[in-house]
Order: sequence, then C-alpha cells, then structure tokens
Amino acid sequence: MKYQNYDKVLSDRQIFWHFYKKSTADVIGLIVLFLILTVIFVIPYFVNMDPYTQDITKRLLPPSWVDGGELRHFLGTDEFGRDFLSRLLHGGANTISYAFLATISAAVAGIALGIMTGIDRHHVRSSLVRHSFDIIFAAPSILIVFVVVSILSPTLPHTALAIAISLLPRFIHTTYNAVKHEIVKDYIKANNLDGSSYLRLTMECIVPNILSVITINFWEAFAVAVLDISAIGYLGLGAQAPEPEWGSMLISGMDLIYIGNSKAIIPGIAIGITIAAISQVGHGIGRVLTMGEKKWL
Amino acid sequence: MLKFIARRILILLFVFFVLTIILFWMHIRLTEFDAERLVRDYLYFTGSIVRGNFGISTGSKLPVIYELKMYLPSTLELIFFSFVLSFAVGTVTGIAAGLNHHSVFLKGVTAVLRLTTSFPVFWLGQMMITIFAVELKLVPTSGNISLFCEVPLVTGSIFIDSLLTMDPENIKSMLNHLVLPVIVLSFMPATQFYLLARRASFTISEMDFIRMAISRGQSQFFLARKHIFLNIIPSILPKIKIILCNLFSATILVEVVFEWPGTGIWISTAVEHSDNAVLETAIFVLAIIFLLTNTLIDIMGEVFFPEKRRINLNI
Repeated sequence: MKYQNYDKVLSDRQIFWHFYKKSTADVIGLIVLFLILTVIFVIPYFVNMDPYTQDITKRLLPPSWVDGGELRHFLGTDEFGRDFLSRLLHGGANTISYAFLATISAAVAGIALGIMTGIDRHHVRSSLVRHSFDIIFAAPSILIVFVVVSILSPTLPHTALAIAISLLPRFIHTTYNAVKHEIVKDYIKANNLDGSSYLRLTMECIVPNILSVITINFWEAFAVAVLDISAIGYLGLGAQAPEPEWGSMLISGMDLIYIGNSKAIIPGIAIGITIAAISQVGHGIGRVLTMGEKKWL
Repeated sequence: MLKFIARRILILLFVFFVLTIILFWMHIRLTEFDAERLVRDYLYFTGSIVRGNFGISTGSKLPVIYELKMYLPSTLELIFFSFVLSFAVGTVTGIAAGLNHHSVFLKGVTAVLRLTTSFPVFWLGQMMITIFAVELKLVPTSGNISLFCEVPLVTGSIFIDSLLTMDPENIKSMLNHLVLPVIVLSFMPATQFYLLARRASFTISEMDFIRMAISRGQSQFFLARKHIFLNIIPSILPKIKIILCNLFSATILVEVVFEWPGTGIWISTAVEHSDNAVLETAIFVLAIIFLLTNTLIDIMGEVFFPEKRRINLNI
C-alpha cells in the first residue's frame, strides 16, 4: 500500500491492516493463531487421525525425535498406547471450540443485558439488573464452575455453560459503561427526537459505536475462557475419559511426569502458546480500534 | 460521600439477598418442592447460615464450621503473601518501565512477562516443582510444613501458628514450604500490576509537572517516590478487585498442585463426594469475603479519590 496512489480509496479493512501490521509482535500473534487453528480444525479432515484406538504393546512411546520413538507416532503415545498427536489435535479442537462457544454466548447475553440496562431511564431497575450479577463478578470463576458442575454433571458442555456464566458480568459492565458514555451525545438525542424506536436507536446508533469496546472485551474473554476450560479439565471436572481435552491430558501427563515428561510438557506448551496468540491478537485489534483515544504501551 | 456509601451498602444487601436465594435453591433442589413452607424454610435457612450454623460435612462427619476454621486461614495467607509480593514487585518495576519506556531491555521484560502469564498456573507450578524441588532439591515438593514439626492449631494459618511456637526449626520449614507456591501465584498478578503501573506512569510522565521536576534535575528515584507512586494509585485501585478474583481462582489450582491444605483441596474433594454442606458454606463464605472486599475498595476509592468516582465506579 502506498500513499502516493491517491486515485484509490482505501476500504476500512485495508486501513485496519495498514495499522495492524505496524507492530511485529501482533503480526506474529496473528500468524501463530492462524497456524494453530488450521492445524487443529483443518488437518484432521485430510489425515486419518484416531485419538481413541488403544495399542497396549506401544504404551508410553517417547516423541519420535528421542531414542526409542517411532515416526508413526510423531509425539509418542500415552499410557494406553493412543497416538498423542491425534489426541492433542482433537483435544485442542474440544478446548478451543467450547471456549469459543462459552465466550460467544456470554457476549450475546451480556451485550443484550448491558444495552438494555444502559438505555433504561429507570435507574433503580437497571441498577438492580446489573448488580444482581455482581455476585458472579465477586466470586472467582472456578467457584462458579464448581457450583454449576455440582448441580448438573461434570461434562464439557456444562463446563462451557459455567464459564459463560462467569464471563457474563464482564460483558454487562463494559457494555453498560460504553452505552452510558455514548447515550449522552447529541446525535442520539437528535435521533430520539426524530422518533426512532429503541430498537432502531440500539441497532443503528449505539451498537456500531460501541463495537470496538465489545471486540476488545471479546478477545480478552476468549483467552480467559481457554484458560478456564483447561483449568477445569485439570481438576477433572471437564471432559470425561476417553474424550481428549488439553486440561485433562495435562493432568494425566502430570501423573507420568517422572516416566515420560513430554506428556506433561506438550499440552502445557500448547495451552500457553494458544492463549499468548489469542491475547496478542486481541491486543493488536484493541490497539488499532482505539487508535487516537488511548496510548497502547 | 455518605450518600455514596449508603448506596453501596444497599447494593451489598441486595446482592447478599441474591446470594442467599441461590444457596437456598442449591439446598432444596433435591428435596420435594413445597410452595407453602418455602418462605419459612428460606428464612430458617438464611438465619442459620448467618449465625454460622452450616451443618455437618458428610465426608468427615465434622461440623463444617470447624473445617472452615482449619482451611480458610491457610488460603487467605497464601493470597495475602502473593498479593503483597506481586504488588511490591509489579508496581516498582512498572514505574521503572513507564519512566524508561524506550529501553529495549524493559520491552523485552514486558514481552517475557506477557508470554509467561499465558501459561496456565497449574502447569507452571508443576514445572517449578520438577525443576526446583525434584532436580535441584532446593525446596520441598508439597504440603505446608514438614511432618516432623509439631505445630498446634491455633489460628489455622501456618505462618502465624509456627511463629507462635517460637521454634526456629518450625519457622525454617514453614518458610521453605511457603516460598514456591507464593512465587508461582505471584506471576499473574505481578504482571497485571506491572502493566497497569507501566501504562499509568507513562501517561503521568508526559504531564507538565513531571517535565518541570525533570528539568529541575530531580533523580528518577525521587520522581518515582514523590510524584508518580501516589498518582498511579487511583488507576490501579479499581483493578485490584478483578486481580484478587483471578488470584483466588489461581490459588485453588495451586493448592491442588502443591497439596496445600486450604479451601482449594477442601472444595474439590467436596465436589467429588457431592458434599453439599461444605460446598454451600465455601461458596457463602468466599462470596461474602469477596463482596466485602469489593465494597471496601469502592468506598476507599470514593474516600481518597472522590474526583475519580464517575470514571471508575459507575454506580
């Protein structure tokens, strides 16, 4: 892209990318995230991967680059002789897709409640709605998961539900603050005097203007959700055997850490790199969207 | 100000009401639903938990209040030490980084810290155990005090209890066991304090009074101590709530990793055995602690920095 080329008007997407690529770390984060998602969600369609078949003669093989490893099992096998690479990819698909599900449902509900309470003129009512979720905000997310899982049963969808509940107040509060910030502006008053309905006011005026806040918050919440899902798996309350999931793979690797430490190290590194990439991309998007308002150091 | 505090306390009471409703629902969800005695049952239930009458744990057959006195202080001491450590380290380095934001070294430190906090805390804990306890044999692997030390249960907090025995062996063993969990727990909040302090002190360092002070020839240490530290507190204070909340989530996981006898292990065994009384008590007590802390921080922000209220709190 060159500034000399004045005859071409840049689209929003091009402007975004122009500023996004100025930070090398953010570009690296985007590439890493893209690679992770490709490897996890696309490769299993083209390569025959079986995370469930047990082979008792080939238990606890080390990774293929260590002595005694086999190239057929690139990252070795686990304690039941299941291929570790397949389990890692399937587990990653479980972890990331359920984290995404939790985040998106929390975002939809939280943004709806935040806007509803934000444009509500009835102070007591909106305050009560917002603060009835304060109890969730006050309680640590793991505690909420404990409650939900003990009432329902320990499965991955219930964990995702619990994490969505724990992420809800975060969305409500930020959306509410953004709406309150926006609603005092003159163009909203003008629209209101023109006779816009609440729905039109919301969809055409408020949502496009608070989209940057929502996007930044969404990426932060997504990173937290991945971390929480794996933490619950680590405590043994998430995915149940033989379903692979990064957190539960980590805990079964921890039991074997003095026999084959790669089984504990690899899932941890996978979780860490995924979360780092997600938060780096979120940081970059936030930097571009709030450019001029806020200094991102 | 009084109006603000009164409103905050009203909201606290309302949230307390919601909490008791949730707990009551947890309590009666397995029993037969009887609409006639619902209100009376609710009042009885709330009255008994407010008076500290939590029932008997089905796992250990002990009164839950007794177990609570045993487990809660050791969690709180872990949270307290890692909070103090991370606040001190994070704020000091954050101010240094904000004042020297062009330094390549400090940019590298920031990148490393951001990468480190992306790794889950239970994995970091296990790796630290493998490196420092198993390979280097510097610290013990788990527990909160050596089995050979005799420490009577006074407050439940091993730090205070072993200081009370005045035995240097006990104190040494306690400190040895304490150091690794506290360091592992401090990573995440220290990074958050570091980033907050860095951003806030960078914003302040561009203001006129700091330029004036620099042109007067003040040293960086003097600047940081006299001008920056107090001015970044209002931007850190409202975030302390969420940092404490994350710290507690991490504490539960770290307690499981280090087998620290605190609420983390207590709750996770209660979930495994579906020990309802323990679960209700733990949720009630911890939620009350967090609600009171949040209210206290809000009121502190109002009392000390009244001009920030509209921006930070949005009541």
